[in-house]
Amino acid sequence: MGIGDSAARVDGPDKARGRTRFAADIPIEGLWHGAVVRAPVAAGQLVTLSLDPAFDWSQVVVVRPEDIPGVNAVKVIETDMPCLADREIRYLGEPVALVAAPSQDLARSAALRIRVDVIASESVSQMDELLEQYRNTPELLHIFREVTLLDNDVEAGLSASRLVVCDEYITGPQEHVYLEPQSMIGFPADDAGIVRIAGSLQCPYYVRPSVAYMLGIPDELVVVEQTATGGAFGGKEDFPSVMACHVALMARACGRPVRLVLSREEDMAFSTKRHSAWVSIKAGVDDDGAFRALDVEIVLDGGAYVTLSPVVLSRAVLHACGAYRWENVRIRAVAARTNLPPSGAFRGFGAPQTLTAIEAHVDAISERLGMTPDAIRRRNLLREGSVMATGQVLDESVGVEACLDSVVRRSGYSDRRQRRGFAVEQGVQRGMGLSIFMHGGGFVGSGERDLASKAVLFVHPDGRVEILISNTEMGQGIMTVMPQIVSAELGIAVDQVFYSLPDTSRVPDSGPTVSSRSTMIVGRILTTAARRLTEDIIAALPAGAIRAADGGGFILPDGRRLSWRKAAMNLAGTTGHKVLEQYDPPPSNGWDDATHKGTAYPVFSWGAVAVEVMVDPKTGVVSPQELWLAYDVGRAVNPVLARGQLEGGSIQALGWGLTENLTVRGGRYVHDRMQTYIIPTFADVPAMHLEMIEVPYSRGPGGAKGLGELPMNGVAAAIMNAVRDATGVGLNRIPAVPEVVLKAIENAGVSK
Amino acid sequence: MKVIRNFEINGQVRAVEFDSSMRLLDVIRDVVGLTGTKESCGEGECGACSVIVDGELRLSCLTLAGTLPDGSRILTIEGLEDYELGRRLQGSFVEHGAIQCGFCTPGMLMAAYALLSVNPESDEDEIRTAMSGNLCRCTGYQMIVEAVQDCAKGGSR
Repeated sequence: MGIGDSAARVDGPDKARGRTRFAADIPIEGLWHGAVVRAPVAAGQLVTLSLDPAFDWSQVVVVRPEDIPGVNAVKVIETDMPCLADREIRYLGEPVALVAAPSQDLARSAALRIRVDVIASESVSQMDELLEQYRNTPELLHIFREVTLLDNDVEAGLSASRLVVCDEYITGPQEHVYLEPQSMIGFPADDAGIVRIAGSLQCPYYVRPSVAYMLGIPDELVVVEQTATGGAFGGKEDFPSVMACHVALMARACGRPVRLVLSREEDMAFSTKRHSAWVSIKAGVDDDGAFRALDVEIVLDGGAYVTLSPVVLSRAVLHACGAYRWENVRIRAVAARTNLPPSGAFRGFGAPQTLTAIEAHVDAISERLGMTPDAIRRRNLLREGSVMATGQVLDESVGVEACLDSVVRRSGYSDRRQRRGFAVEQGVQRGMGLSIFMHGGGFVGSGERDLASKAVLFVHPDGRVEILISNTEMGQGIMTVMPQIVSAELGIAVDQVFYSLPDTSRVPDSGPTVSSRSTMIVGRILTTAARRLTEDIIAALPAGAIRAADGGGFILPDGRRLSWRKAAMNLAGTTGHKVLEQYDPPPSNGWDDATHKGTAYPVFSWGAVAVEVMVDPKTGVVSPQELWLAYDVGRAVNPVLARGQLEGGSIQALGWGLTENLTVRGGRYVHDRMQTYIIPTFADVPAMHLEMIEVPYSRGPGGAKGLGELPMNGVAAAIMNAVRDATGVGLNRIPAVPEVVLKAIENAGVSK
Repeated sequence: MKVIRNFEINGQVRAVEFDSSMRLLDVIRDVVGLTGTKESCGEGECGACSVIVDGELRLSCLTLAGTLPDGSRILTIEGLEDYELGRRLQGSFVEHGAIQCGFCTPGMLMAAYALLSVNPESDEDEIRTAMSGNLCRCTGYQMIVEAVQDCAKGGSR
């Protein structure tokens, strides 16, 4: 089973049998349960916590801010976010205390009996309030980060343009709705002073320093272990550090292991969300549709604390031009604070927001010009050799045109549009929409170089090879794909190589499992490690031994054949053999974070989407009928698993674009239940027709590029564009719930 | 208040003692110790807690265990592999990429099993409708449909 084969999912049988143990399934001796006490208002000064005298507090243990031994902060990029707020409240639901108890019910009821008194003050929790600050009272705006990207002269470009099209777009927040809620277990320090954390998480090496910092102990005294993770999508990138700090404190306070599992309502209302965004675009184009100038303003709602906003903002900026060449560019972007739960990582990480806006805007331009949406895209899309606004030259692996061709051809896009026009069938209108887009793989700029990710291959005395990396299996298939990559390079059967869920006491830091980097970056390190392992095996054999050209194994100097396993055992001896490799970054033109110029990403993955929808103009309901997807992933290491990610991400994007409405009232997300926060079901999903395009990347395993986030970036805009096609009315916000569609139709004064 | 019921769980009859306020989900997971059945929403929306009681698909998070009479036959994910249809469905799910994170999988399999037990030749629409009470956030559903279709007698599109 080499690269390109659909090796069976290693963890599949256990998951199918219900044997896989998630954090809430693990039996632990003497386990207690935790609950979080939360602020009842969106902003204010904390006065006091009062324990209800009618409750028997001897049954439980309460943890307060003053019990924090190190620093009262959950370190993410910065240390602005308290672990337990003790003075200022910045969002409704902000943790102020913790309760540990012998049962989850007891912990939760005790938590409800702690009254939190706050002197409430003014708060900002709506996008229009944030925009009001941005436009009219910028001195009140609390900015987490600002980025400006300039290329050539946008003012001159706009003046020279034949046509300038302006519009504004808003994309809503999004909740991950991983089926497994946030779950974390903390253990009290053992005799050696080591504090263990185990739970549902993406980045054990993010959680470790956060817990250590809060506890005031060295990183080495905290061991973090990933348990089987039931979905994450970025929602378990930074938030687990909060969960881990909380269970560490409770375990320390009660001297027992403590498990905290958030209720679904709590998870939906108070954990991190996708940054909602406002994107204002002024685009200058020529008569023939050539894109001349692009002036973009972006405001991201960062919620109450910084968390990852600086990086989300960066990615939003770097994808704001879309998959096009613009001669003159100015992007001014700001991530600012509101009194909502902190925004965090979510698949796409800023790119879906700006790509949705630019793709909707391109259709607005095409309509004004009288060009078709596919023709205008073809006129301007990026190709190998194109230069992006950052100055980066796309020197290889640019498959966007092939993706566009694929969806246009397979959907019969041109024919359908001609046939249909604004045809009305029983009051319903049909439309088709397109989008093209990309996603930069890996960390931006010098990020991967700075991470200096390390991976280890360990040969056990029995000849089996273990992969030791900090990357986490969360359903995407790491447990299967990494052994495939390694075994292909070694020339052995895939079941001779294995990977286990990481534990920081056993694995090196190969970086976080984010940013579509695992296969492309860590897979590459493992490929290099496997090559070195082969060299080490040969070096341990009699001089003159060589790798067999066929049939596997090695040929000894005397002509005898030695199986790979025996040769590996020869190297491993009784103690095993370790190969450690570090990431070797590609040559780059450098990166200037202040100007956002240089080589932003080693390579981009590309995509195109075509969708057909039906719109009922009386109710505003948009029903997707069929979805054509084309994604250039470089190389699909495991086509079945790749398909799973690409289809799954596309439907998650469909939900974000159409049904996942998260409105805020009184500083709180009111859609905090699966009943009211609508994610797509079996019955909502149109037939999907996926084509994986492979334009290989020279430095990816087998040519592979990142694909985890790519499918988040195009579906929403394609739906907006299909609605425009169906009704003649462009949408300016998502989710395109019926109220939004009806309002747009009403505002346009179009009646059909 | 403690109550005792004789339940047949995955083919084995046992006396189960539990607090009358407990949901069937809590009895299965915490009293009997079968953790394959999951809690994801606790409000009957997601289907992750699905089990089969006396041949019918039930949401165990909305079922008060005490309302089930003595002799109730309960099938959970752990018992599915005792049946040929169960094993075929499990194999098909693995083969067709219908499993990613695995958290929705037990409930999905129970729903698929319940469907094919009464309608072995379900077509795509019937599958989608019958399983629309089970949410998945990872797959986008299409590969799950294909896995179930493969098991449906004579079903292969």
